[in-house]
Amino acid sequence: MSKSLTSVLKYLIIFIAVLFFVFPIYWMFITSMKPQLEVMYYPPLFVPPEFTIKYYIEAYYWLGGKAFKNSLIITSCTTVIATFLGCMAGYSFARYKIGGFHLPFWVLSIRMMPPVAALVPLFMLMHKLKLIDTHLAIIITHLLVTLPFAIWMMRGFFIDLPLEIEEAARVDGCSKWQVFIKIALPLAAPGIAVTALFCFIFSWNEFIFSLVLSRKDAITLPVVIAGTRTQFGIHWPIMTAMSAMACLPVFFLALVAQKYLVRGMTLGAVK
Amino acid sequence: MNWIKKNKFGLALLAPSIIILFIVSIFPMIYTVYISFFDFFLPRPNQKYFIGFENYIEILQDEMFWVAMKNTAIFMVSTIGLQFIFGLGLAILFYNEFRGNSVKALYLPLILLPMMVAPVVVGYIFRLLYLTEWGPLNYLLDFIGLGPYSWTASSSTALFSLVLADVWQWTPFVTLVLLTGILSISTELFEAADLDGASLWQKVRYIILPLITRVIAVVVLIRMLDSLRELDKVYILTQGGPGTSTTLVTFWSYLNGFKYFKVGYAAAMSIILLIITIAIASRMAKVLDKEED
Repeated sequence: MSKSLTSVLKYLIIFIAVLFFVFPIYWMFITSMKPQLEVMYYPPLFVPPEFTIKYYIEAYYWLGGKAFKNSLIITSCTTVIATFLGCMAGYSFARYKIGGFHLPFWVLSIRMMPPVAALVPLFMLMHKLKLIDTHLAIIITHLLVTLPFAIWMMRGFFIDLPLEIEEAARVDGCSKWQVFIKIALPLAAPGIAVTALFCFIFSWNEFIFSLVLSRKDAITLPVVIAGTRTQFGIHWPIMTAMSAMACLPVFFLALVAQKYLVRGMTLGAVK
Repeated sequence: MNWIKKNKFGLALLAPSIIILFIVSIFPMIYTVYISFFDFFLPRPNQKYFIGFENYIEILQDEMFWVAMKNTAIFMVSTIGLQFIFGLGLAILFYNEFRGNSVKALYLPLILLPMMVAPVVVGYIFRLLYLTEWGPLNYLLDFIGLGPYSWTASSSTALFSLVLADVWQWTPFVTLVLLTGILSISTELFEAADLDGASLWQKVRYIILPLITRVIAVVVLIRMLDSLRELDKVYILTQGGPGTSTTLVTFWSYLNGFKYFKVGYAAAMSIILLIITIAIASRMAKVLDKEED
């Protein structure tokens, strides 16, 4: 085979692969902007002749706006708490080696547990505390997913920092607390930002805890999207409009964190 | 006592997280173990009967559990197999063409999108693509003379439909991780291999695969753990059906707990799931621990 032919072939494969990964997302966006009749049109309209944002407005007034607000509140609180506590515990693991490797790994392994193993007891606990359908209940359960991750990631980022700077500061008379606040935290700022971004993404996309613990006041975006299935079937334009609303913030954050994506998604195992 | 004094600051930093994790994780796990020994029907919370290991025995004798285990195994093996083959192929292709250079910026943001989409949304997007009569997938297949398939509506294709959605979502992740692994291999090795006239297959077999075993182990273990937790896509895409064709263990446990309210039974099942998870996670610990020494 000639050289130019193989390279054409290679680019063709890459093109098809990228198309395969992008098309479903394109299809979601395009469906959300088609007038409803055109959704069920055969052959499918790959480039619709007209666009409408009508369904975004409808989705907003149907539970979308409320759910977006709930998701934003829950995700922001979860992110702030997880990142804040994650910095503290991660620093403690990295510098004071409490529990060696096994305690931090045990913390991380909580992130790997199937949620069903904790679902029933947490539901009963929240029921007893009368917290069902509150933001607080969902924030607490989202910490189950995000806090172990934040601790583990921050531990990795703090281990990466050179120890000498902190030792020098100690010699100069800084207290341990000052070393942590004034030296370690600013140096780890990029790591903190990345950890926060991932916590945001995990909490934003979380479904099963939010589903079980919410009724109507605290429903999050994934729960509302899941609930677009009515007895009349699925309202595709509204569902896709809401899905697009759910995707856009995360896509934006993913692009920001692109460089650290592999590290975050492999739990720091591959840098 | 001395140790506590010496590490007072470290312990103080750690304490709030440990307390929270205790409340949201340890306490529920212990409670799950506890109720797994009871006949416990959620609508009658005051009547629970201690039955020892009976839930476990019943699960192991329940045909449905083994169907769910079989589905989970098929799902796990086929998704990871496909993701690995496609991921490795694409990673090598990207490496050869771009060496992770400037053009990377063009394709990378595009292929990292699927893994960022909420699993619930992935489920719905694929329902939309799978629509038997208006769906674009059947339209494309019709183009090359195949189909129409009823995808999630038929028990022979439903599990494959689920696998395809998962392959779509996670192949980019596997690709990126393997690409990162390949990029960490010294280019001199490839140059030497080129001088010796090594074929692509030989380079893959004797350079790439042996040098990225740790990366492969990490990515396979993470995907295994993820597929044991897979619930959202099943919930949206198939609800475990038609029949029992896509009922995975997590979903079966969820149904028992929150639809049939057989809480003790569901708890025992999630403990079994937990034991499998711990077995895989301890492999993961070995991989991660080795790196730090």
